Amino acid sequence: MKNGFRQSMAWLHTWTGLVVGWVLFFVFVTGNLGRFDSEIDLWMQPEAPVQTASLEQQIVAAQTRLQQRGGEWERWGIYPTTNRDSAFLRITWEAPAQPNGARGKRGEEFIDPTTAAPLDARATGGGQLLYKMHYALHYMPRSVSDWLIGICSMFMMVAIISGVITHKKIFADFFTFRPNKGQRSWLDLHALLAVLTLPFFLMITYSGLVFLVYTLFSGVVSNHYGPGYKNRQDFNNELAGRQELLIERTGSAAPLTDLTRVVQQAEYQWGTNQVRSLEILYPGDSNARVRIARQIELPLRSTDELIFDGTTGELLSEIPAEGVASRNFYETLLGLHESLFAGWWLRWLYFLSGLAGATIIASGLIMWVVKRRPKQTKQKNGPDFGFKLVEGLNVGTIAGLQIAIAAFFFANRLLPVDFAARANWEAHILFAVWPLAFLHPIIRPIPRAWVEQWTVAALAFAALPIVNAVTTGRGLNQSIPAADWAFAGFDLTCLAAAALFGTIAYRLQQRFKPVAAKRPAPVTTLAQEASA
Amino acid sequence: MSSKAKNSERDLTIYRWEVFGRVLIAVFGGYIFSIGTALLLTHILPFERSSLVMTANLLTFALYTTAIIWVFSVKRFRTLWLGLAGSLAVLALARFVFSQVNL
Repeated sequence: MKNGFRQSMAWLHTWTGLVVGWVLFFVFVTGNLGRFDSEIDLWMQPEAPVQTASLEQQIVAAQTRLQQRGGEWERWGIYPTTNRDSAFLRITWEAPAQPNGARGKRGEEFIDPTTAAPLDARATGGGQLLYKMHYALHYMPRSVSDWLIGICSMFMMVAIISGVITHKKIFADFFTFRPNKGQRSWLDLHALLAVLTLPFFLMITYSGLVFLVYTLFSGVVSNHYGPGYKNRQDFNNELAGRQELLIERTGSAAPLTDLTRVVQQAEYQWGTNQVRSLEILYPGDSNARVRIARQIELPLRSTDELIFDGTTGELLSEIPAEGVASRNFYETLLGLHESLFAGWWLRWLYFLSGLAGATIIASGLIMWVVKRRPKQTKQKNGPDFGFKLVEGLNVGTIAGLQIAIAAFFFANRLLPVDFAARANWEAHILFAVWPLAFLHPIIRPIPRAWVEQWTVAALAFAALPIVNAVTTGRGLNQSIPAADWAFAGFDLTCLAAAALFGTIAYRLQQRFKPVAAKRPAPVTTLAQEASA
Repeated sequence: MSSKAKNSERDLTIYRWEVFGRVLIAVFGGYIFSIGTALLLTHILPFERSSLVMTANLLTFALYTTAIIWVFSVKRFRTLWLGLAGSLAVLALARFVFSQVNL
């Protein structure tokens, strides 16, 4: 559509990146925090006792609690703390699929293994909530968020491919960085990070899309298995070779077997600490089934599984981790995305790659402004509305989101501990503070808005460890000697974030001071320098 | 935008409509093409049903991305229409042929 292939692709890259860039930035930042969701969970429930209960004790507590709750459920889930994904023993329940085929309502609870009662700690969404925001957003049903995130991810996929085509010198870009050269530097930063993290970027985007395939391309499964969630489960079970789960309820009640016995069998087969999760299909029915999954230790997310009869406790079948090629490919993609297999070093590498991803998106958004600024500022009637909108959205998203996330953590420490709706209010506060960051650039010149928001973000993250120390008595002076790494890691990461944001604020400030001194420049010219 | 297109207001309007048209074709035409191809594959590949469906699932986004890139890389609008109509016709024909064979 342009004069040449590459020009067309450059155009496509610019616009697909711009349109959804702000949402993608949010997705990258929250998803990246999700790499340490369990550690954030621990930090956000400081009074929760350290979990030392044995696996058996946890299973007893979970079964007791689930049976106490009563009701008829399609499925129960038990996630002991052997699982890296659960900082605390967690139980889940799911209602039968709705008449329209949609997945039944789900709920979850953290349990204290010693009392089999809900965990006695402040209510919070925890790190899980931040992590969930990266695919479920907030204040909307999954049916809406799945489409929104799916469409944005598809834009990103197109932006990545067209961006790669636009770049002819992939190898040279590895070694090209020309700092302090305005637009040129932004392009170099954007390209350098993108080339460096391209495999990660491609993997995370494509696998993210594959997570949503049942929404975006639901027709593929429903063409063969019929519509709705239940049929989709049947497809998954058939693909995995779980024939024993392709059953219906009998409708006659039968007590659930003692789950500790089936767990013992699994541990006997796999060794201790190898049980990751239990899923109980049709609990209370005579056709109940128990599926036990093993720890994830490889990028391949599917693991060995044992399926038991839920009433007799008899082992029905063993499912190997590896199955047909297409399933292995699918599970490896999703496993790479979720990184549950990753140890500490790899986990931090994931985190850094995610930061690079967020920086690529941010630098792309800023480049759009920097490139157009010379022409826009020369216009008779001032810059276009669209240009000013992008400038404002950039400030409010890139710097403002950091402030909103800090506010979320402050809310966790400062809202009254026994306030019933506090878990919801932590999120409300995040989404109340964030809009302020979008309003701020309207009343302040853009360069000032950048400097001020980065300064606030830096101060906020510097203050978090102090507020934590005062409110919990588990500040850095305690957590480091006690080798309390969830707390120490969180606080140190806050300080690192504060240092980073403070440096950005300081450098932007420096950049725009000499210009102001040299010539009495109009605000718009300052804007040019500030984000250059 | 090419320098020629800037010359007149009319060219600019045409250019804008063309971009709009391409977006529509890329989003909806590309979607139909990718799900159509994926479904066709599930009817012709010699795997088990569940494996077929998963293979198609995995390919959909690659097909969709390729289609979108193609829509924006084609120079002339006419080629675009021909490509879209042609690929959909081929898909429909193949689907028909294989449904006959399977019977």
